[in-house]
Amino acid sequence: MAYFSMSFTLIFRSVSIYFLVLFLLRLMGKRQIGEMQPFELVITLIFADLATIPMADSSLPLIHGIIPILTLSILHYILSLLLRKFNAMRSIINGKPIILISPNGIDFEALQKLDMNYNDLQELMRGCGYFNFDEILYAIMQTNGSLTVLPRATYAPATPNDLNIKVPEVSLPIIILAKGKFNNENLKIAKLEKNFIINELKKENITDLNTIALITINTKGKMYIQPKKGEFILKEIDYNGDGNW
Amino acid sequence: MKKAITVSILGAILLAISIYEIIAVNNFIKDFENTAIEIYEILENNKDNINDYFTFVNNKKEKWNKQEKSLCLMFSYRDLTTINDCFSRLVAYVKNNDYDNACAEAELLLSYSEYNKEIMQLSFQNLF
Repeated sequence: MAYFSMSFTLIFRSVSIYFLVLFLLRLMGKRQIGEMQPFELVITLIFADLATIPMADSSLPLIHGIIPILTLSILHYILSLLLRKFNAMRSIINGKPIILISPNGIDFEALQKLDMNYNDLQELMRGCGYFNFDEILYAIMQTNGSLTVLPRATYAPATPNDLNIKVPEVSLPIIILAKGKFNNENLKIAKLEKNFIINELKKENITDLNTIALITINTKGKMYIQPKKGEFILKEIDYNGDGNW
Repeated sequence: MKKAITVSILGAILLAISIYEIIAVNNFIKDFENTAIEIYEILENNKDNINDYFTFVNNKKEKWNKQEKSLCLMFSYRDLTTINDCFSRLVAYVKNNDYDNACAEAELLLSYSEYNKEIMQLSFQNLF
């Protein structure tokens, strides 16, 4: 019983802390670790450490773990607010983007400032799809540690605009059925009725919705049907919705 | 705006917890200190027949045990167990009319009250 009680306590504490941290991280916004600004990375690292202390040590009150986490989230919110309002503060806390390659070539001083060498720069360039220094007009090290590259016009990929070709605008597909169940919210957005979809499926000899893994539709009325078994089906439907989502 | 409201609510919760803690901890430390002094004085004034005060000391221990459950929300359980053990030993010594050991335990209780006062107060060494 004592073991059960202790396990239950630890489970309860872990679940509570997990949801609290999840909630607070969601409150902070969506960012991948690699895209974080320095102050965001710091809070994530501290959070990870703080959360585990009361989770593992049952002799400590749970509140001792919750209070620092809540304090840091509030501090983070205030800091984000200040960074949004004051540009000067942004450059102090986050730093400034640094130009590593300009039309004149590589900026050695900037590289030294970042504690980087040519190999590091080349590695980052390769990550962007460029292998030679002369292909790049500008390379900028962003404050979150990622490299942004503006290629020279002769090395930039040609766009339809460059070639004076008219292409139809791309459209965003949305999921209207997944694992045999309709997504009512998306059906409403697409202004489609369930019966209409069922009738369209019947035309393809599909009567059981449970055999369908996924159906998406785009603004042009192109329907992608992926059965659970077998090949996908592409279908153009007579779409009456306004196609604006 | 929604985020600002959520953060304000979290801030208010934090403030409420902190204020509640200040009040609860102040009351607890004051009460604990008074108990320790009271027991110590009784032992000092009744060296030969301290076992007459067994019920009194035992009641204080019972009271402590009741308080301990709510105190777990604010203090480390390990620290509370140390005080609880001290109380248990004190009750046993009082029952056996063992003045010297009972007095030593009462002094220990007093030192715990002093220690708790020090760790809970707003001071330079606690902040840094």
